Amino acid sequence: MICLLGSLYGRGIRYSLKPRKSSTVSSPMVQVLTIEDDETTAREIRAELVSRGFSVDVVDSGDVGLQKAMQGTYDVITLDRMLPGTDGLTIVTRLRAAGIDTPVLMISALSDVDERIRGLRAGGDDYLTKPFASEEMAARLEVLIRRRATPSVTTVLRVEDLELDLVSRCARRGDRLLELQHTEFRLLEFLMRNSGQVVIRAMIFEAVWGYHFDPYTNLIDVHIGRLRKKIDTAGLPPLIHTVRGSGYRLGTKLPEK
Amino acid sequence: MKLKRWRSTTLRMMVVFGAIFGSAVALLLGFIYWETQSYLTGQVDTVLNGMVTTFAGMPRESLAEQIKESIQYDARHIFLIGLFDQDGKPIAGNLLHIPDLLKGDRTLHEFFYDASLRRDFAAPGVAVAGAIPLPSGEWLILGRDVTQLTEVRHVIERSLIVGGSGILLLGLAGLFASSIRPLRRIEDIREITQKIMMGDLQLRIPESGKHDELDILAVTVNRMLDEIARLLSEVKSVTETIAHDLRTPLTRLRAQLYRTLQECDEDSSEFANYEQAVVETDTLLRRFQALLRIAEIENRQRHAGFGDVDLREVAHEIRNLFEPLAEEKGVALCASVEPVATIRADPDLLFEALSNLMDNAIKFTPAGGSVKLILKSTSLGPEIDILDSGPGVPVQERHAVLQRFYRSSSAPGAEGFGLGLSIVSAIVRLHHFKLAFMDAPAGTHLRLECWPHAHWRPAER
Repeated sequence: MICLLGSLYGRGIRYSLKPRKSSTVSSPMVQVLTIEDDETTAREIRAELVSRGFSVDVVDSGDVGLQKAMQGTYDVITLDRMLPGTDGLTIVTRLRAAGIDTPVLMISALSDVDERIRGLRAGGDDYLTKPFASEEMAARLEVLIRRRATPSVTTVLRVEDLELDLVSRCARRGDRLLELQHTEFRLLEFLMRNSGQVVIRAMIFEAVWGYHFDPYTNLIDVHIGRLRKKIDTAGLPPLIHTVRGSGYRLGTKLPEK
Repeated sequence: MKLKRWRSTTLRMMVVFGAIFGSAVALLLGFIYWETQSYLTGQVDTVLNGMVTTFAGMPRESLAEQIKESIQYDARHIFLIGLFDQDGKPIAGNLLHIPDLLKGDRTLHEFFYDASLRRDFAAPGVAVAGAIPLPSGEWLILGRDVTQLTEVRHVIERSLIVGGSGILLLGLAGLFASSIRPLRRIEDIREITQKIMMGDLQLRIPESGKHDELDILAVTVNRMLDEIARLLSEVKSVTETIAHDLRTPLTRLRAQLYRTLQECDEDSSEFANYEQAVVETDTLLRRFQALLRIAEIENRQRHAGFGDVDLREVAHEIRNLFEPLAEEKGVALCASVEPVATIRADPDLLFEALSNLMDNAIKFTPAGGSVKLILKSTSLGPEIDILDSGPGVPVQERHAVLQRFYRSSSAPGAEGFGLGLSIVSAIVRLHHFKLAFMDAPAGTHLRLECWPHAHWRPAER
């Protein structure tokens, strides 16, 4: 299990901070199906994902998209909510009915909360509103891929010398026990589950607090700051890194290029 | 402004009309009175003149006999006839003495007489009479009893007074009664326009269907309101369209900047510039996001996300979320939470609203200050108070801060997008709750009343 985490972790590092330069991937290519009828958006998604070393199939109609998705060979699907032919909600509903559990990121111009709920209820795994920042889309996809790859029975999360026991609910760095409050524990759990990759603030707010509105910028920062004080004590290599312009990443510092 | 009854146009018009009508009635009655009066007086005069002619041209010898005869034929006892000698002693006729009034001249006089005047029946009365001196030195008194005529005159006078004032009183009562309905309608119109002024542009002035002048006015005003609503929604949709359309290029711009930032050497001077550009673009995007968020909440008529919400949980969550922020700013955050009834609300939106309020409270409170979150139960429902020890919001700005794009001038240094409170307003409106500034000795005291209020608008104080 540790081995599996390690390999994912390694890949994550290369994708996230310097995405354009990480074209060499040792692990098998991630297969992405993009069902999107808007050409510009499709091009953006493809460019971003290819630059991260993913293999992307773009389909612009719902019917063809559904056929391809039904093969079940993809690691993740980005799905436009509004499509000519079969629409996004129907596609995801049919996929789930057919027992195909490929993670689906719903992408929609409809930002309404009800739409989000409808999308997630139909079987979507995450929901992104247009227009979106490419790196947010990629970050969300990576979380979906990671979530699928991580066995759900995991009881202990480990990153470097940081250890989080989900059963006994205790955290330690090296042999030092960390005293975490409930929120801090959940925040650390989320960061560790997605270690090595960039998580943007909105994702943290959604995952840890469960809300979807605009988190006031420094609100998440102060929570991270608190956690950082407990984890990255003086003398130890820092594990929580701020990724300028987007969010945070948990892991060892990347070597300078 | 509330309309005072006596200021109503209808009432004033009716008073003027009443005055004209009253004068006309008075004129008519006066004319009738005057005509009757002069007719009766004329009758008396004619009769008396006839008598004078008859008696004056009569030889002295047959006078006494004639007088006797005349009285005999006067079944109604209306004639006063008397022949007196030089000393005033009665010779013939039905008079016992010469009334004092007639002694001086020869003109006709109207006078009251007492019971001692007449020989034929002893009762007082009113008479018109004159004295004619005869060549023999004797006096002939001729007159007519007008007691009945006087009474007729009194009857007319009385009916004039009683009838006239009756008409006047009835008119006034009618005036008040008939002004009630138009006044009530005007009051209704006033109340509705008040609500419209507070922002409920869906309301229209009711028409009675009588097609009267108020209806004509109502139709005109309603058309005007339709037009205002249309223009307003146009302005709103233009704003929203702009916000929406600009988001896509802005997102691409941000993506481009971000990529450039990623490829740039972290120590180079461009890095800081690009980073600043990304931050600015984010600010811009967030503003558009907030604008669209307001529109989204405002356009949401359905209450799909509503459920039973325990405000205690929400309050605890808010406290946990903001505690580190307050601590970092050096602001003491305390929460006082008592058990309250569950409410019907959209938990996500309610949390968003409270987060906004809390964020503002902490943002505007200087280090060393305090922010309090109080949840308590009232007879009407749960109530949330958020108090801070910041500079407070001046009374005259309180209304404006709940509108779009407003930022208090008293906190020029503090960051904020001015849209936070507008989002809160929109959420509060969706719930029909009420958000109000309370008077606080220092700082800001906001109160969110979590029970349905009819048509709450930020305009309400």
